[in-house]
Amino acid sequence: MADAMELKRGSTGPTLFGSLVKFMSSSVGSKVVMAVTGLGLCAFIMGHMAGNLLAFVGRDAFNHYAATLKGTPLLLWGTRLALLIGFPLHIWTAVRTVQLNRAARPVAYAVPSKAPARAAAKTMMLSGAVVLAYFAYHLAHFTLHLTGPQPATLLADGHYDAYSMMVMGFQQPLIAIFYVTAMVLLAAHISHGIYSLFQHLGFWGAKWTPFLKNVALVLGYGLCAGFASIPLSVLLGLIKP
Amino acid sequence: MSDKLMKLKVNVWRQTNKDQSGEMKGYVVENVDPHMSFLEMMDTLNEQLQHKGEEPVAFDHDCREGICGMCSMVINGIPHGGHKGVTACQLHMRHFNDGDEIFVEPWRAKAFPVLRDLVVDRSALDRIVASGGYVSVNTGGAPDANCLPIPKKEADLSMDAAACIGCGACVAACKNASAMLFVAAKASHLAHLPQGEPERYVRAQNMAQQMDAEGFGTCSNLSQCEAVCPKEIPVRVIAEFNSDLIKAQFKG
Ligand code: FES
Repeated sequence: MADAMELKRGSTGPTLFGSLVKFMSSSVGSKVVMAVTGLGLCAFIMGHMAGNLLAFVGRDAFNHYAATLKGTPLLLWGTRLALLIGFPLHIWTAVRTVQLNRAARPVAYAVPSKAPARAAAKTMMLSGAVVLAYFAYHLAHFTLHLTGPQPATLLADGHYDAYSMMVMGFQQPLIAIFYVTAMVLLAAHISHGIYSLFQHLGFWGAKWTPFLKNVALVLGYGLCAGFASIPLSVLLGLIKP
Repeated sequence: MSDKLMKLKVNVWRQTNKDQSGEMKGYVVENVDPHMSFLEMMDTLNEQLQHKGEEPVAFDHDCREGICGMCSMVINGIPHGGHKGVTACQLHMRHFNDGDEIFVEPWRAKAFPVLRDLVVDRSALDRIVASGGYVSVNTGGAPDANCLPIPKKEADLSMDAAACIGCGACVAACKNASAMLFVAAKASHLAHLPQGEPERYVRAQNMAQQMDAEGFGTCSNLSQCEAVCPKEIPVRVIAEFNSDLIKAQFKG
């Protein structure tokens, strides 16, 4: 009886933090973490592409954008902090769910599954892994200046000549190809991810869900086209050194 | 469509018990009438096996009219054979051609151990229902029909989910062996009714917890479950279930 009373008052439950951690480690909760971080990463990618497209405006616009980013610590470090939290969480939940899923079917079917599903949806882990590898390379090239062709001198204002760095990089066909490949896979990843994350967050609508599926496709492949247009334009000589 | 009897090569998973490993074994099945159901074809195979003094193939079945959810076979890589809204027992042999080779496997999931041949233990689904898929009612006289007004839209949403026969094809089809469609359907058909509303969030939490404990995989929104569900339950119920679990975090 006393126990029942206790439960009724709800005073014996776990702490807010405790129950949140418990939820986040459940199968549905970890997908919520993946969805929220995915949404954040997607927003970052959209902003990134908008900045990149300034390459078409010209050297000054592009370098001004790069300099403004670097010169605004709040923006720069706010974004970096979000990435530093969002990326590991996104990857960690991915690894964890893959482990759970593998364990959930220890004996495989003799006939490969014919249950229909989009290829992009079935290969999220693969596309994600390639994009991650690309991301690491990308950081080494453009942020840490460890690899790839780098301009010999800094600009007069002490900043890196981001525009030249980009053009020099993409004039190398191998770098451009790696970039474009990663962007195609990123598109596939996003084309399922956007739809999926709304489903994970419990958002469904008879009209909204089909619309969101289309948004996911347009956004995914639109981002890919936007990003890929730059190395292709460099290779075709449309963006000049 | 011809009524000509067919001869088929049927490969079936044979396994003597839970602890032994099994293998696919091929049989030639003769005199298969195109009007037969898939299970009747399996009966024909079993008769032939018995004539030869071999062990018949064990498979689950009961109603044979698509309502009990007992039949459970992955036919040529797809649960229930892949015809829209059809269980294995309602699948007709007219969809196959003379000389076809057919592969029949049990549901594959850690949570569904194979007991024998095509029979798997699906009590994990029962335990999930027992953990929350009910409404707590005090005993007393049964209320009069229609004394609780339920909007038509809500009743329809509830009925969509209540059509679940608990066969487990969703788990069998899912790349991740996730049981989300089943669990969400069982939660959704109660959540839309006034009787089930009060316990909506606790129910979702308890069922989700049991689902994880049974060792099912996670949902990646591949919708393979929806595609194979013989009752065509929509993945909408999964979004609802996710939403309930998230809201539950903010309640209490
Ligand atoms: S045997 Fe009852 S649904 Fe197939």
